[in-house]
Amino acid sequence: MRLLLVEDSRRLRETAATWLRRNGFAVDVSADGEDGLWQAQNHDYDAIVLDILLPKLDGLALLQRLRAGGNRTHVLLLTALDSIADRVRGLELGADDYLVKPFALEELLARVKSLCRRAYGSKDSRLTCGDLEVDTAARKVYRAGQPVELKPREYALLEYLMRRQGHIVSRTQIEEHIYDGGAELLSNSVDSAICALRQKLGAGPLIRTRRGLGYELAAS
Amino acid sequence: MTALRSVLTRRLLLAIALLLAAAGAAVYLLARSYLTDQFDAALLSRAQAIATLAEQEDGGVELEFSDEIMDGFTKSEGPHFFQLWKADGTALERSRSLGAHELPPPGFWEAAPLFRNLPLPGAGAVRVVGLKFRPHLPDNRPPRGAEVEVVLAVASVRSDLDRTLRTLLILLAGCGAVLLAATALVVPRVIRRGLTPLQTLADDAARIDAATLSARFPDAGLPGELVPITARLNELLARLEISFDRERRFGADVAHELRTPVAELRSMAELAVKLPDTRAANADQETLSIALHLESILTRLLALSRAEQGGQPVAMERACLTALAEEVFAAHRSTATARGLHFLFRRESDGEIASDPVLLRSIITNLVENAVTYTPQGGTVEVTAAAAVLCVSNTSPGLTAADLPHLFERFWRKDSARTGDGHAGLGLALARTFARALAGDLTATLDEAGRLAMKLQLPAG
Repeated sequence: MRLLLVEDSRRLRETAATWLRRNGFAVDVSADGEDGLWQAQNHDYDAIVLDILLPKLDGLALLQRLRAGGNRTHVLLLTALDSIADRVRGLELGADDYLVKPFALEELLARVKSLCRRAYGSKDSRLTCGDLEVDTAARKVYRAGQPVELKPREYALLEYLMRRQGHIVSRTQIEEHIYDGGAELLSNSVDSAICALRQKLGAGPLIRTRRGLGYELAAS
Repeated sequence: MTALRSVLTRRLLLAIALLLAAAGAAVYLLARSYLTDQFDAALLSRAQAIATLAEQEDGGVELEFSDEIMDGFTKSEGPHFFQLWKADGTALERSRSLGAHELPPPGFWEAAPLFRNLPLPGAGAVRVVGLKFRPHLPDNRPPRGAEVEVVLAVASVRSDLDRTLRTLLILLAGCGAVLLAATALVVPRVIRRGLTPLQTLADDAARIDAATLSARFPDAGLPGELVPITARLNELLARLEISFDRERRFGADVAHELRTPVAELRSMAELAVKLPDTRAANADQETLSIALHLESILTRLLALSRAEQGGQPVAMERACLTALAEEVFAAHRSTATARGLHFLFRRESDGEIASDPVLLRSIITNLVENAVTYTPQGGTVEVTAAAAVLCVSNTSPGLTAADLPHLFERFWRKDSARTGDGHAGLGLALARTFARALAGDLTATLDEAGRLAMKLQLPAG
């Protein structure tokens, strides 16, 4: 899952980004509204965490322009303003959720996860495909009831494929959703990640390669 | 608590009762005096009629009186009685009605005619008139011997008069009581009705609390006496509303300013607890700088609130504004140079003024710090100092004339976001409050070239 975090407080930005990355998200960061808007318009994020008070372009204006441009990415507003009017205004402008500062990192994570689930039209935190089961809340993977240990990036890849079950996913889409802007991408990064994932998941052709198109996850 | 209504009712009823009693008494007394005069006139004319019947008769007096002619003098219950004496007290005649009873003797009637009330046994209360006169001579003959002076007392039963007066008294008292009862019924209603606007006002006032300060008392249809009251109340409400709003906004501002540093502190600490390996090498410096930022917000807020409540201690002494300005200027030179600013100082004139150097330094520091922080790279900050005037001007490309009124508001910044540089938007508010505590003022102007000039004007001398 790939996130955009727009927050002007450097410390908050860094700690939140570190926290989310450690929890398997690919996180792009932005320190002001104009840059944040540009990034949001030019990448396909699963969710955007947006501070309201931002230099250059404030969060609500950013949100308004984003929505006006037809972008439907789920947005979590971070706000230091605690009045009901502010929250209502944010929600009316098209935000999906809000979080008042100061917040617990756990809550930030839970809300971001919930927005990502909604991005794929599901409220259930458990994804299944045949005997493969992914608990997105606990970030655990089971194959035929047996736990499978995955690295964070492998997990992110699996979760993305699970969410797009039955669809062919291109290599570029995978790159967009699994890696953040800062990651050094090699031409075969995705292929090797798929390969590693196949090995860990064990027997049974779960992930199929569609030549020239990409990959597809489906129960055999 | 005394209700205006009951006090008014009580006093009005008392006043009306007194007036009614006085009017009744006056009517009664007038009527009694009139009736008594009438009675006396009849009594006197009766006495004079009898007197004309008396004649001098050879050293004695002859009364040609006939009971048959003068009706009412025969029966013992009256109603009329008379008795005739010589002036020396020798009894001459008496009416048959008098029987053995005596009317007051001649000695009693020194200044006749005289009216007296007295009880007469058998006839009840009577009114008596005494008359002293010389009976006329029969047929105008010259007197033979000394003329005799006589005293005549005529009495009449006054039971009719008394009954009339009693009836009048009862009538008056009855009328008074009825009027009073009617008044007691009507007055409270009239008063209640008259005081309705006051009651409405009280009800309106009772509904107002901190949450409904936007309510105003209607002044349409109010009696003239209440209009100034509601006008003042509305003024008061408007002022209260403004100050409540300011306090509310201020509270929200404070919360807002404190939320971000606290959020930073919390997320950093949480991350360090959950993921100890992510702890940055400079985490302690970061924590310290957040703490210092929080501290500076609190310190300035406290100073501001103290100064605004007039509690800022001001210690006047001789102070040199130019020297202070130069010191502050020197202290900021390295920061300004590091930011790539043209940093200039100009001394226009020297001289000392009576002021508080601590507050002055705080004002100058805030102005210079503000200028150094918000001037873009390559811009110019110029500090000009004279004996009682200080001007700090700097390039402010982002600022417009519309921003000027907001410059001195607490927590106001051109860009609504925090800059993370420890500036909470309190410096200029504090500087102006201090300037006013020193009987001076701090004003901001913006020229066409986009240069902001902060001018501190202090009283000279």
